[in-house]
Amino acid sequence: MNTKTYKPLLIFIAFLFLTLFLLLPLLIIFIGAFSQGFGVFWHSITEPAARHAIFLTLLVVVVTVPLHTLFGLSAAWALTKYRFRGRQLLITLIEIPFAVSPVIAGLVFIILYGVNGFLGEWLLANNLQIIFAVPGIIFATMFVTLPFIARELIPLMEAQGSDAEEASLTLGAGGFRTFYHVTLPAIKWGLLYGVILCSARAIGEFGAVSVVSGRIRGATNTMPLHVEILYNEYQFAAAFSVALLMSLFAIFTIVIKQVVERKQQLG
Amino acid sequence: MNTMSITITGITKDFGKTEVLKNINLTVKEGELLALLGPSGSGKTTLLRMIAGLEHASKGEIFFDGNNVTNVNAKDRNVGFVFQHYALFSHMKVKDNIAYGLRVKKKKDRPTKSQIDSKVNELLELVKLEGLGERYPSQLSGGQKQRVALARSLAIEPSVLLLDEPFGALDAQVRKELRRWLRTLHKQTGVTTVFVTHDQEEALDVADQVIVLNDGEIIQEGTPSHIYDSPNSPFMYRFLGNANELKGTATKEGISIGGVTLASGEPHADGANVISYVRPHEISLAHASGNDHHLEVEITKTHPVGPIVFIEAKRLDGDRERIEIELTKGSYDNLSIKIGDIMYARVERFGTFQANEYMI
Amino acid sequence: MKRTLPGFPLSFGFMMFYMSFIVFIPLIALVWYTMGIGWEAFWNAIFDPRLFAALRLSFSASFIAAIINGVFGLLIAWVLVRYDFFGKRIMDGMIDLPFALPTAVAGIALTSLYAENGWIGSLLAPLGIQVAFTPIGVTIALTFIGLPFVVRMVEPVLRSLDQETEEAAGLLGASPFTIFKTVLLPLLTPAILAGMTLAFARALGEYGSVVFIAGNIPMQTEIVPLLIMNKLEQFDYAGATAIATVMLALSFILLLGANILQWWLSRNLGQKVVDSSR
Repeated sequence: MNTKTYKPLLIFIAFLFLTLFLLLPLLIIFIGAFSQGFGVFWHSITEPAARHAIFLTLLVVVVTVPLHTLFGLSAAWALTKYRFRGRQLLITLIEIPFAVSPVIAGLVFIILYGVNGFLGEWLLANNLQIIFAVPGIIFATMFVTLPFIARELIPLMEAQGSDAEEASLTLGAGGFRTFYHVTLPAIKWGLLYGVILCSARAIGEFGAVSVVSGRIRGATNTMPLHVEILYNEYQFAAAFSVALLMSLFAIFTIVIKQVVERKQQLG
Repeated sequence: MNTMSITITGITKDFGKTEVLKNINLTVKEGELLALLGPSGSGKTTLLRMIAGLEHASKGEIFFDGNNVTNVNAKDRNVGFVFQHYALFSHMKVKDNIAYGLRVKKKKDRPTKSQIDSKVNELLELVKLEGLGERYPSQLSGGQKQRVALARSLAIEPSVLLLDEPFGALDAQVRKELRRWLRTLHKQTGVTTVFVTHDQEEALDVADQVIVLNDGEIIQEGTPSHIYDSPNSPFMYRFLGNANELKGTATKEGISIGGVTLASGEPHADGANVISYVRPHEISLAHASGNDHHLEVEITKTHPVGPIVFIEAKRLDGDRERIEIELTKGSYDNLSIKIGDIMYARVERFGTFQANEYMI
Repeated sequence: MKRTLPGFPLSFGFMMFYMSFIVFIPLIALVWYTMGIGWEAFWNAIFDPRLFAALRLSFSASFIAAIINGVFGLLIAWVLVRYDFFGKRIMDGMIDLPFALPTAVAGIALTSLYAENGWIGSLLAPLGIQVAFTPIGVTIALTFIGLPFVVRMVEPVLRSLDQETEEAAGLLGASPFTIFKTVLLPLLTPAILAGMTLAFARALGEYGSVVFIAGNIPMQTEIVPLLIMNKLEQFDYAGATAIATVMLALSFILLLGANILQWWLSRNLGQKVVDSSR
């Protein structure tokens, strides 16, 4: 059909819409971060509270992402290399955290581990604190980001089938060798993107973390919570400075996605 | 090379309620090249995968040289397996694909680096891919990929070589070339080889022995010429190629078809309804009725293709059915056949089966 | 059933243990806790005008945002699949920004943009339109976070469609608009709906990008997740879990709906449509 006539108009509308909703917000973060000069920006991301927020955020990522990677690989292996009843259901169940509000994702851990929660008394008796402490933040982040790596790998491994693994098996290789030498190289780009996207979401998780954090500055503040505090204290330049750091990682994530898609298209 | 015989006893496989293999018994002799032939869904690939240990039987046992391997893992069976879609490791170079089976061996069994290298070169030569070792699979043609897959499976010096529709994904021309080459390769290596195909021409052309499967059961087995010359059932006639079906009645003298009686070696109950299968090229034509074995037909169509002429004719007896005849160009010219000619068809060979044997 | 590839017990076992520990047990704990608070407390929490107002806002803003994303998502997917132009890869990458950008960052950026003294807010203020701290602001934030869903759901379907069908319709004399309406739209509708459902579900639960721009005025610009948050801050766990359980049930229904649509899609197109969203 002759849609050439509409081409410039449609492209223009698309760009206008995306500028309004995506480009301008991104731009304002950059401008906001440097609105009071580079010095303020640098101070905002290096002062002790910011440094601690960055440290805590990285800690959350370092715990969450490797575990999710292990989970993603296990789930993809179990759900694509074998056929059994309930397989499709399990693939759907992995996506549950997407359907749950982050606030609820935080709430469930308060119910479980909070002072009045199911395990609250036991934890108290053993002098363990999860809620309003770092473990709670990690649990909440894990809940929200659980599907990211698995859902990258499952369609990929489903499409690749099991022929190569079976070939490896008949050639005398065992399970782990086959996984390491045959499966892993074939999914490495998808895995890389999954890991980076999962990291980006772990860094940026706000709702769930804000429920369980207790917002103790310098103790349970991750980067997004730090941004919120700064913003509510009208320290806009500082808020945007920390926001910029996270935005840069988001942009990095998108670039990786583009690279990975290109790699996969090339074979 | 230490090659082995394969014996299969009472293999049954069911997926839930559907039985894909029903009590299969067969033997592949040491050094034999055997084709498992059958239509899709006949269970032939499942059977092959069972021999490799990639699938497990619900019942029955598999022996390699008399040793029960039924519960031996695929990785310990030492079989070469070639997949229809090659299943090459796309991130490895051709030479690394071939060396894979040697490199994953346990340390004490693993050849040295230089031994592996020379083995890889030897195999590249064997499959006529010298100089392509540094390429990646994506840079090869389908036929080349399949030869890499073969070299890879041969690298571990397998006790038996199994090929699953090895030429199924290739062009007709390449397929013909490769199957001749497989024959030669088999002569060179002498490995007991089983390959699966749905192409009867391929099976008859390549194999020493052919086993025909349908619906999870062995229908017939034997040498290619035996299979071709004496199909044992209506299914076999239909599966092996277009044969004319002539309805008739069994009598004491033989088979009566449209008032003509053909002598039959096999006894059928007197008066039974039978169907005789006649291949188009096993019918000859004459302008005059010689003896009483000739069916009267009217020529309705002639279609010369190269050295063969395809002829369609209508029977003039009660049935008035269409039959197909193939003549050589020479005999067609000698007879100077024209459309509308009334001629007499003589059946040279045929197979007869009780009609209810296959009526559903 | 015996399995040939090794590792099933290990991988399956770890997967189930992990999912149970991180997701299932906590969710079951929530429902369990709600069952323990008694009917009266439950109804008190649910039959609350403030919750009704919040639900009305959450649903209407999420719905409008889903409609906006349905229309523009289709348009953007069309532009990305059918046209080649300068900046196409950048546009393609930009679509994923809402998935990758922290919600709180999006929240403060949108608020600054649409506040009365912001770049866009200051243009709208003279027209008497206030965006920040009104339901319009909530809708804008929800449009932002739902933007990729429709695009990423429609793209693969559009790409898989045979352009010959359209050409055939064109040869039969149909106008571009007629072709779009009669040939393309029916084929794309399930994908658009699936994308909108996902965007809607995500919007219902969204917190981070909304709290800053909403202003959080009870009965006016307070969304449901924020209400849960407020209850928690007052240590009203019964109230919070009651609302959360209702939300959870709604989310599952939506997830189910989106899955049925996706299942329908992959069946009818004879291929697995993998949405690359989220």
